[in-house]
Amino acid sequence: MSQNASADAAGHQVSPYAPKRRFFLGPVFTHVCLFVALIIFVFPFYWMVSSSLKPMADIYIVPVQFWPARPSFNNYLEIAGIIQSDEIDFRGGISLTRTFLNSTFIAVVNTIGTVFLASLAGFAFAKLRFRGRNALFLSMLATMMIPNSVGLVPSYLIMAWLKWINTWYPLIIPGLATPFAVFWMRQYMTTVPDEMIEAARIDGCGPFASYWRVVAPVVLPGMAALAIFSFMGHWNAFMGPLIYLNKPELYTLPLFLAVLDSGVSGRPVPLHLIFTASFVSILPILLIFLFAQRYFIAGLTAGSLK
Amino acid sequence: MGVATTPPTVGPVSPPKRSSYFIWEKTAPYVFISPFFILFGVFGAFPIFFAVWISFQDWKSVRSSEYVGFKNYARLFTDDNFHIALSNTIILGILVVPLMVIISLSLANVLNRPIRGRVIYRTAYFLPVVTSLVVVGILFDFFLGSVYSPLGLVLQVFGIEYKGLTNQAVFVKPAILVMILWRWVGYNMMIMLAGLQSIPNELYEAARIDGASGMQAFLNITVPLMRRVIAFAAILSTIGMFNIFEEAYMLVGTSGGPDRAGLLMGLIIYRQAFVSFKFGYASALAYANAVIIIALSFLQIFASERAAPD
Repeated sequence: MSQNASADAAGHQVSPYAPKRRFFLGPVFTHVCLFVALIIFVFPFYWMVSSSLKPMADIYIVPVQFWPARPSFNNYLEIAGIIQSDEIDFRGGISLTRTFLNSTFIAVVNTIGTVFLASLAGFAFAKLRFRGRNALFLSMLATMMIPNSVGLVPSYLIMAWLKWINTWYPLIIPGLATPFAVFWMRQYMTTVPDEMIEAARIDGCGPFASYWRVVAPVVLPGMAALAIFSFMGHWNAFMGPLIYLNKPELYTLPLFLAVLDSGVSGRPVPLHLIFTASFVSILPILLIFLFAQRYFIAGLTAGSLK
Repeated sequence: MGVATTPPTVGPVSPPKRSSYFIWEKTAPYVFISPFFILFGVFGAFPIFFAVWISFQDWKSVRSSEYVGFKNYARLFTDDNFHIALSNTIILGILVVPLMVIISLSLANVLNRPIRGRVIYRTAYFLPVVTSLVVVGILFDFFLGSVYSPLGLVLQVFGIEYKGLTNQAVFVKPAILVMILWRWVGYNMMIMLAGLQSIPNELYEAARIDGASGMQAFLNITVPLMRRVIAFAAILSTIGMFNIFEEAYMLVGTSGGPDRAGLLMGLIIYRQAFVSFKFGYASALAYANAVIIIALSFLQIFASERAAPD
């Protein structure tokens, strides 16, 4: 602030951004703080990548190596099952390749299903009139206040009765019915003007055609955000797989990571493989984030719009 | 409704009534919502009510149970694991929530200005938010728990021998605190940024003309106008604290680490349900947890509305 005042006094033109300079820290101090924070946020990622290039022996040494002295991609080949690995054989013999494909399948099926079902229901709630509409919508919203841990045991019992333990159904089917997804699509669809649907109706569009041909194309950005949000949720999901899966060939990536992290007696934790697998597991989401940041942030911070 | 004597209407073409089209228009909404609502009913809504019944039963297996009344709820008063988990969760919540709000609001306030490299900073701070919680847990387990962590090198400079932090009870809570802040500050910062962008710049200009310092403008304009956004972030952090599972599971395991210093609500619910297979007691715990969460959320909303400067 005092800088602006002296700039005024000296007759220089004040930058158009001057009124925004309202923070109380000096610019240099601000940049130092921002940079230190940047290091804190990014350093673990650097460490993960640099460790994935080290052989196990170079991770288990003190003082630690900041830069891999003998970089190689062997860890990636080992974790993918291309070269033989004792660590993987001790833990069921399932490689990252298989679990990566498992996670991809589960997340993709869920994403497509969620976007379709939620947009269809969201369309009905936003644009169609029917008896019980508000009551159904509000009761659906009310259940969002109940934390997921309440449903943990009942869901497990239901899955056990359906004989769905050690299958992917518990990870796919309940995920298709997320109230938040319907809420999100409905909010997006209420912004579509009624006239568009009315015009389509006069042109002979039935309810499904007005959803599919008129509204859905308009709300594609909303669907993209929901798709990203849903994909990330299922890709990273851990508790479901932990509860329902104990056959190695069914493992998803987070469960595979947790199993790698668990000790086999008499052997050190295979940190070289854990860092490698961790990096591979976050890579898809990281790439989606870097290339579709706008949709990503819209989906993740959506709750604040309420 | 299609009475025979009604003269044919002239005007915009409307579909003939009482046709299959008309029936489809009436039933379509139900057809559209039913795939969602059937699944939601079975796997979303029913479990919430079913959990109440489960919590009044003692379970021998997934198929056999007997009614025990309030026994599972009575046990809440004598179970010291529950008391430790609740007090740990509350202590951590009291530390996490204000720190989260202060750090994320400060970062958002700085990055709301046209500062050099702000897109890079914003992206970097958001990176942990897109990282899976299991990986976050693994990373912090290594950095704060392993002797081979680079933290040892840093401490060596100060002549401190590093033996890992998460294996000592005093450091478990700070470790969880740092992990939560690292993971969620970027997320809260984005919420704060969205809120800051809705504050008209004229207010700051007027304050500057009136001779207000940057700090005064921050406290008298930004904070009051961001009241609802701050409350929202605080509520999310509080709820998150009571639901935290994956990161804590990877960091301290279901036992809660040394002296149970890291035992949290999410961990004991999971442990009772799927390690001890006490389905009834786990459901009672989950309901107690839900009641606390909902009560705290309403309290925070109430407090933020009361603080309104009218």
